[in-house]
Amino acid sequence: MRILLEKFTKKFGNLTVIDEMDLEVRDGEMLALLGGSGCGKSTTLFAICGIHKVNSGRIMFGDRDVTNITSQERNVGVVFQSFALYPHMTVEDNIGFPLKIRKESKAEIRRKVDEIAEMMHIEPFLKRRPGELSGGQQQRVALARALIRRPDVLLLDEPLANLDATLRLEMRSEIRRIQQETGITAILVTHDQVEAMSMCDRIAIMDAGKIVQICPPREMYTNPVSDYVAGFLGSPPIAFLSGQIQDGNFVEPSTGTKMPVTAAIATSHAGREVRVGIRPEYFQPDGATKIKGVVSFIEAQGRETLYDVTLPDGNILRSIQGAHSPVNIGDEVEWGVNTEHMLVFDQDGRRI
Amino acid sequence: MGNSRHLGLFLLIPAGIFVFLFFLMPVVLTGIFAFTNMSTATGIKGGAYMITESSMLSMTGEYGEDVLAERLLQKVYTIDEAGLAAALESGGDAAAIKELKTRFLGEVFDNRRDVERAIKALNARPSSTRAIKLISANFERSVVNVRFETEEELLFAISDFGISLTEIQIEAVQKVAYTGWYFTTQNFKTMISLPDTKKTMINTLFYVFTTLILFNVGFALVLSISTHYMGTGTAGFFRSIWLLPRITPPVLYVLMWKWLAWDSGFLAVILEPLGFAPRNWLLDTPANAWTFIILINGIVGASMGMLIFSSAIKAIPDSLFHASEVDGASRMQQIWHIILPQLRWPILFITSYQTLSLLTSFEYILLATNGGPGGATEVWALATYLKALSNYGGALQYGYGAALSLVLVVIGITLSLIYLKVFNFANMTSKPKIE
Amino acid sequence: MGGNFRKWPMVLFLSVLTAPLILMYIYLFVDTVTNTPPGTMIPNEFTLEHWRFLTEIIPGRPSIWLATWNTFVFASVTTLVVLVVSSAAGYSLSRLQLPARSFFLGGIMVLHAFPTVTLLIAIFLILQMLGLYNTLSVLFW
Repeated sequence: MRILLEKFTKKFGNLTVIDEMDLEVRDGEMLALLGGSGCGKSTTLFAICGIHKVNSGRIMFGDRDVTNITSQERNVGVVFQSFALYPHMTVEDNIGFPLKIRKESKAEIRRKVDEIAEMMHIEPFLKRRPGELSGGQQQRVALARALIRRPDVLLLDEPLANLDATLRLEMRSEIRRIQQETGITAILVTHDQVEAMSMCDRIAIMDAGKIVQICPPREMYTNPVSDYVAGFLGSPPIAFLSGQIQDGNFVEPSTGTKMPVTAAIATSHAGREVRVGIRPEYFQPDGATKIKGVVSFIEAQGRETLYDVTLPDGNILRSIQGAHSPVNIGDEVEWGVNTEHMLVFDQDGRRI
Repeated sequence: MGNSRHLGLFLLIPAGIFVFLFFLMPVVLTGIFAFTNMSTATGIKGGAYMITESSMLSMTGEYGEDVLAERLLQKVYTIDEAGLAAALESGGDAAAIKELKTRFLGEVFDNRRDVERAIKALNARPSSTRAIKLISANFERSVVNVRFETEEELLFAISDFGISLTEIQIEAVQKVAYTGWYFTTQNFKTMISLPDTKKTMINTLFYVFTTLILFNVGFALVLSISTHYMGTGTAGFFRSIWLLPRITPPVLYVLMWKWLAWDSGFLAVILEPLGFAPRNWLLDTPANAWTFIILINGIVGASMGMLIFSSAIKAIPDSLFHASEVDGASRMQQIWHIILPQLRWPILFITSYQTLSLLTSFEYILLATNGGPGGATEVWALATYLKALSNYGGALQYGYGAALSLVLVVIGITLSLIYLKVFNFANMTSKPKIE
Repeated sequence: MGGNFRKWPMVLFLSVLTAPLILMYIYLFVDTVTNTPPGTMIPNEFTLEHWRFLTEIIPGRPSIWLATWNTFVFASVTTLVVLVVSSAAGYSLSRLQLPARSFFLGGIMVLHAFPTVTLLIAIFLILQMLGLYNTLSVLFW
């Protein structure tokens, strides 16, 4: 089901957390709300499921205006960060709770619980209590409870934050599998760009209560609208350098290195201060535009190695290399920037 | 290590003294007093020996020594040195007294008339009847109503009085003449035989469980759950209001209820136009009295449950409420399926803790109805207090009161121990963090 | 709380239950500043005569300030004693490895659960035996 937020505004007291936000989630799509803490992503999610009242604006589920109706009537499934399983009920009762509340027959509840337990691979645990389950199993139970009454929307609030690294990887694909199997419209709230990029069809990246950019993950990575978006996506993160546009080049002030920019930028920003963003994969020993610096940090990540190269003025460029270069910390290197993929931002952080 | 041990024990000493003075000693003494016949009449220190009308009644009743009893109660008139001296002292005719001494010293008369007749027969006979009576009064000798500190003194006085006692009689006199307390199991026999005991017991059970269920747990749940669904400020306001009765001095608090209930009080004024004659609603029928007793105690008692339950509800993660709302639960369903199951332990705790405090509380009942009307609202603790420390006649039965209170002490200690077991004491006493 | 349940029904419900109690407390106060005759609920005149014990000594009654002083002395001495005794015991029980520690703690829990009112009679009799009944020093016990 399509979800639409129109001029949605949320205030806590005098503090406006979200100001006139518009957002559309397409039917059957999984959308990530990505942002740092306090950016308003959870507030948005809580407004969609009705826990927070909206100060102004509208929320539509399909053609239904749900702005002023309660959570109980919205038919949404929510997986909370802490899973919020009822500790005094068995797994079976937890999953069946939404149905029991609607006074469905015992046999019917049983059938549906068994069905969804099979899908979630949690049949052996039905008689246990949440306290006796591992984090991953609790996660599956929470997901089963959210999905059992076939909600119009599935909302996931940092669902992987409480899991350890291996489980996180497993549940990432598991949640995606289930979302695709059921074809449900889903919204994932997360601060982890890897989760957002790997699980979702589209990402809406938020900053200070506003959606900065909304598009598919790949596009957002290659074509960010601002330095904030560019900095948020990518691991290891993008490196920024400041300098001037002169004669069709970006001039790095400490080394005087000239990096060619597009003709459009060269004319529009001639002589002006800009920032450029260079991703680690585009700063390589065989890159075209060489720049000198000192290796200040080496981190072996197994398949790849990450190098920090400090320029004379203290700015750092990062490089990630598949083959291990024979350098040590303190060595001076001259590696090249692949300037085609260089991202240029104006002084306000906007992409140009 | 050894050092800290000694230090620890040393630091415990003051607390130990307090525990001993205020707990161990009273418990033991309650047990001891319960097996005595202590009362205002016997005093609480050791007693003395006295021949009285009532002790001679039991002499007759218990030992069948009615002749001896009669003799001991008798007054005789002996002309002795002491009497003569006293007569002179009180201003009797000196010549008559001197003659009396020479003629009758050592003589014993059975009654006063004989003495006076003898005085009249004297040569130096006093002129008026009044003067004769003045002299004769000094020779009255009796063991009745004289306080003897030891039984030897008593027995000596009796033999001096001219009565010789057999072994059996000596024993009987010792028993009945003793005015102090002694050990007996009579208190418990009385307790079992009196119909009042059973009634008080039933009253107590009714009072404890009705108040507990309706107010200390029931109303406390109503208060804590309803304030949970309010804003913080409003909730705080209502909680403070309902906490007031607990911090109001009992006298003032009960006065407030009396103001509500008495025959020119609020209820009477309000109900009069509706056709109810003004009356003291607090005391007119047992049912009304109970209603007020339960309200008065319940409202004070509910505040503790309210605090405990409120903080327990606060401890439930918000996400559980959110989850249940999203799952479709209405307010009643949320209360029933989420809040109440989470309050299981607090409810059990309040139930057990408050059972004990209700069982032993009597101050509000004392102030409100004093057990009335006609003992209808007399509970065990109140009965104990009334018997031992506040009886209308002024005859306080310490021993019987202690026996009644021993029953409460035993129940109290037993229940406390059970609670500790139930609430898993081992968890509360984990090892200390540092040495 | 979120916005799924309205607050006013609960506020209304509890207001109705609380009203009598508030009314009683209000009248308790009103009665101290009026001379309302029995049988009527409308306060008549405002008077401070019931509060005059604060400023003058009423014949035949002890001064209120003496009573206040007594209360103050009683409260502070009790607090001081309890503070010293219980912090010493508390420290040794919680921080030091004592023999029979759990026995002591168990004892404290029993003491706490146990209603001391039941010991009233014994304490009263002890006081009488010691001749301390009706004396000031006994309060410090």
